[in-house]
Amino acid sequence: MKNTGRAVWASLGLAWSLLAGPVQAADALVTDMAGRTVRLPTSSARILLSEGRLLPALAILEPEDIGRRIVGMAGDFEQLDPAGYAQYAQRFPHLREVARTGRTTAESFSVEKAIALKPDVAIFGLEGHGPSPNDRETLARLSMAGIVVVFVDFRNDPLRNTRLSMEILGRVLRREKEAAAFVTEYTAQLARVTRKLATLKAPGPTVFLENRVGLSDECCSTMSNGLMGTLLDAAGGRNIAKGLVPGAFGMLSLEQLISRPPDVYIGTAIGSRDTVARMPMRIVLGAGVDTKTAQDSLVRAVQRKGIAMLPAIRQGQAHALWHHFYSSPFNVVAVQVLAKWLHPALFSDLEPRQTLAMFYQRFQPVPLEGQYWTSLPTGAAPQR
Amino acid sequence: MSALQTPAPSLAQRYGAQVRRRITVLLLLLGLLLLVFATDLGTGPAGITWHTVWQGLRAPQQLDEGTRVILWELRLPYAVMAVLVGAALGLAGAQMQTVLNNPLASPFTLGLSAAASVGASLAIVTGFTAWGLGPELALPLCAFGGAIFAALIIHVLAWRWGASVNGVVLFGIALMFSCEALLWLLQFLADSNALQQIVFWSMGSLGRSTWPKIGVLATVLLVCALWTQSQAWSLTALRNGEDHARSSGVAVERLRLESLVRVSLLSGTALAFVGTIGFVGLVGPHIARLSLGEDHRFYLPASALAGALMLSCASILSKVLLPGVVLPIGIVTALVGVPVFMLLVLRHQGGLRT
Repeated sequence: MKNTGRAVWASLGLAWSLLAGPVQAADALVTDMAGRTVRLPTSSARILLSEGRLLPALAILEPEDIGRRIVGMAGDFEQLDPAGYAQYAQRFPHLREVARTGRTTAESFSVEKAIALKPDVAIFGLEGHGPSPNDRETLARLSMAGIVVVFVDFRNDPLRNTRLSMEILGRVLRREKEAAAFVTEYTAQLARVTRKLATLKAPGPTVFLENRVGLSDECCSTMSNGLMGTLLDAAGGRNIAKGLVPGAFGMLSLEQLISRPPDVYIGTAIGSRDTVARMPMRIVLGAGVDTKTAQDSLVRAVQRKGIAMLPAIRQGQAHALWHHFYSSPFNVVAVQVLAKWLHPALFSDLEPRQTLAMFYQRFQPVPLEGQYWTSLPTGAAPQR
Repeated sequence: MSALQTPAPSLAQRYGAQVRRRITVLLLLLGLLLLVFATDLGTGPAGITWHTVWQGLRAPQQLDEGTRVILWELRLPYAVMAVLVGAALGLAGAQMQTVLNNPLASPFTLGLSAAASVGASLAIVTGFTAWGLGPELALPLCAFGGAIFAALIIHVLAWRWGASVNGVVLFGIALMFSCEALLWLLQFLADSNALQQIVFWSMGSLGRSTWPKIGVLATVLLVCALWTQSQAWSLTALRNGEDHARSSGVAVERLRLESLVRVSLLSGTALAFVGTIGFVGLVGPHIARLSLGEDHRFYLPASALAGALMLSCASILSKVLLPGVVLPIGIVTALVGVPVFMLLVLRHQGGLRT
């Protein structure tokens, strides 16, 4: 099926390039993450993003200029990561006026609006909050309007696809050199973890990965195969949801968690500074969050019924990670953080904060301000 | 009365036998419910033995902390909540079917449940925290508000129209469709975090059960059950036909409005705490009717028992089907209820009231 799809797209692409006048050289084609062969756009002056959270990935390639070239994007960045968006909006004030082609779901994507914005190229995510490769009608209409659609992926298979996606973006934006520099750095940083883990004989500690802590008052949402689960696997953790939750995420029963407690608790943080008062159970991490706010929010979150009595919490083996690492090109930093938590002796020389600072300094137009992970301070474990 | 006397005493005897039979069925249902409730308590991924469960119920302080929390904070509240919600929905459906003279009437089909979902979704989308009380209370509050608001609209219209049966049913159905449309709109507007919450809320879950919530629901159920039971004779008379009831001195309109008030209280409270659970309110009463007839003195408690039984079975299944994972109970309920219901219908062909 997939191969026929590819063949059809390839022949369509070829037919298009024949029809479109001057015959393009073979290197003007690129295979995107959906396996479609697409003709590179002649210009990338006007860019449409299916997810606002793709902005940091594009900024890796064009830190100076990218804000001005976005003509449309979905509203997910400001809704799901308001502090991170604020950093970008301050650096590129033009972003505030950029048309929103949808909210945070695929159904809300407006094709008419997208076409009216006359983008040269539309960059979509393989899965997530925008149109997917299965929305054939949407894709057909966009290509009829002469808009080149390219699929990238930072969340389905993050550790493999991040680099491939950056290379694709490099070709689309004609910034192959910058893309190669990032990919080299990414590979080196990932190898720092995988090389050492390969020497490890004993299985890693068991981990309960709580998804979006504080979103609902029910326990216990978790991630299993995919998303942050993939990063946890790469960092040498044994996810207790494996074998129980078949898909990417699901609900683990609290009884299961208490009767087979994990060695380590890790929650993902969806809180920001303005949710502290309204939704106190959310863990607060991300841009503009100081160490104390972050730690206090984790201490509050692990005092919930059931969670508080887990041995991992009582022994201080509780941590929290910024939720949006799962769709960020800097996910390799999350792997380093997880690896250091799970194998502190093995990775004593690893400084993930330095890695993140280096990535920001070399590849981001905005400064690194704020905490993106935190741990339970010693002595803060809930009282018996 | 002596058995030697002719026709009338024999009728009385037959009546007595019938009452005894109905009481037996009622006791059987109760016994079955106790059995299922005990099974529910003994089921879970932790693998606690029956002996430990029994010991833990009598002397909780002797248990280790993990087992105590599992038994007293997870299993017991979930199991009790399943029984209470099932009973509330069964009782609500039973009187609704009687006063509206419609076998399809239930809190679900008349839009109360959809309205509760709209209320809860509104709270989720707007991030309403009930003036600092927090989302744990804001959600049930808004869900209850939604259900009561829908019921109020039905009441006002029914009252203006002299509480005609068809009017109420049609309004209810129109309301259900409007609420569902509103729900879709809210889901469309919601961001992905809120959407996830709305979907999960709408699937129903016992995971939100806490002792205070159980206290509230138990009180509402007790008051409404006694109040309904005190009108059992009038409801039975109404079942024999509206004119018949009127000529027997039953104030039909008043009875209908009072019943609808109880129905809104019962289903509003139950749905507010566990989310959408359909089917129980519709089928519980039918199971009761098929097993012991329509004398409301017995039919009303039997409907409550049948509802409780269904939800308790669903609670067990939701733990057994995917061990260790929370399977929303709303999904399981219909799967449990349908086979039982079909079996009853097939056995009593023609016994279903139309």
